[in-house]
This record gives sequence, C-alpha cells and structure tokens, in this order.
Amino acid sequence: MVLVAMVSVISFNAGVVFSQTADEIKSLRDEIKALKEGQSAIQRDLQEIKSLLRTRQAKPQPQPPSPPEFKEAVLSIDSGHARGDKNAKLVMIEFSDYQ
Amino acid sequence: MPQIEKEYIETGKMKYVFMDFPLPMHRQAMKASEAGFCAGDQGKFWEMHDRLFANQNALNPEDLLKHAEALGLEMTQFKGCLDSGKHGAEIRAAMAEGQKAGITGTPAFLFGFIESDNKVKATKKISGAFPYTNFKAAIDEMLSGKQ
Repeated sequence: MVLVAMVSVISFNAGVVFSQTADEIKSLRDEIKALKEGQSAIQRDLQEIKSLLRTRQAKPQPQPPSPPEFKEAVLSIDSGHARGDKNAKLVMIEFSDYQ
Repeated sequence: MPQIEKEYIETGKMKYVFMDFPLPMHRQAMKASEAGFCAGDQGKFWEMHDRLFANQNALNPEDLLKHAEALGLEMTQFKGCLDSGKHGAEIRAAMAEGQKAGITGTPAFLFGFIESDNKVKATKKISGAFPYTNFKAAIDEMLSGKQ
C-alpha cells in the first residue's frame, strides 16, 4: 500500500519535473528559433552591405577638374595666339610646350 | 581638342588662346616655340603648331627647318627669325604670365573672362590633359555664370 503511494508520489513528482523540463525545453527551443531568425537578418544585412561596397568599388571615382586651391589670377594674353571669335568674352588659355 | 573646337569655339561661345610655356628641362622646346612664332610671322602659326604637336619626336633644329619647308614658308626669312631669336622675349613674357598665374607644368588650362585691354581674369584651372568631360563641365559652369 505504502509502495503504491510512494510510486504514485514519485511518478507525480516525476511528472512535475518532466513538465518543468518540457517547459524549459520549449522555451529553449523558442530562444533558439529567435536567435536563428536574428542571425538570418544579420546575414541579409551583411549581404546587402557587401554588394553595396562592390558596386561602389566598381564605379570609377571622377576626378574634380580644378583643385579648390586655385585662386583667381589676372593675366595678359598679349603674348599668346588666339583663335575663335575675338569678341567672345569667355577664354580658355592653354599653356603648353611642344616637347 | 576637336570637341571643344566644335562645341565652344566654332560656335563663338569661347575663344582659345595658346600661350607658349617651354619647360626648361625640355631642351628643344624653346626653339620649337620660336618656330611657331616665326611661322606666325608668315601667317602660319597654327599650321606650325599642329605640325609640331604631331611630330614631338622631331624637334631638333634640322627638323624645324624641314617643318617650315613642308609648310611652304619662305626659308631665308624663317631661318633668320630662328637664328636671331627675335621672339625669345615674347615667349619668355608668355611664360612669366603663366608663372604669375601659378602654372608650373604642361599642359595647363585656365578659364576666365576678358576684362580690359587683353587681360583675362582666370577663375578655373585644369592641370593636365583630362578627358573632354572635365573640360565640358568647367566650360559649362563658366557659361552658366556660376564660375
């Protein structure tokens, strides 16, 4: 009689322990699932960043035509040879040597 | 540059000035510049300019005479001009203007508007032989008044 009682107490307790463990396992499983989803999201971000970097590297960076340090200068073009409309106000001056 | 010629010079939007800037370490450059001026005395500056640029390996004194002959120049006058160095002062004046404006290497390009008596106020510079798109950007900015 005592034995039956003891067995039923043990199995009740075991049941309690098992259901606690089952709860823990479930919550562990949920945590793992959440971590995995988080990991996938991070991996997607990394892929996006990688492909952005790749396209930026592929594009040649254009060089600015004139460095900002050039301050204005007034000069005479008397010693130069001009072509084009002599009344044009805008001038392009080329300094060059032949060699 | 032919695109600049077509887009801006032929259309009258901009004029182009060539200023000789023979670099001291280029020993044949000064005489080549003089050859340009001497050809200019006979109305053929641009022809000589184009020819010299097309023959940058042939710029020694004999070559300069050959170029002049090929252009049909009067040779006694041309030789006299070269030997006398009469255009040296003008060429050095062109170099001085360039140096004052901060030019140190070639080719270099300045963009500006004419002020008075053949003076230009340059506000943009391109140092080196950049592609046409760089020139187009600079010129279009000047034309739009943004400078």
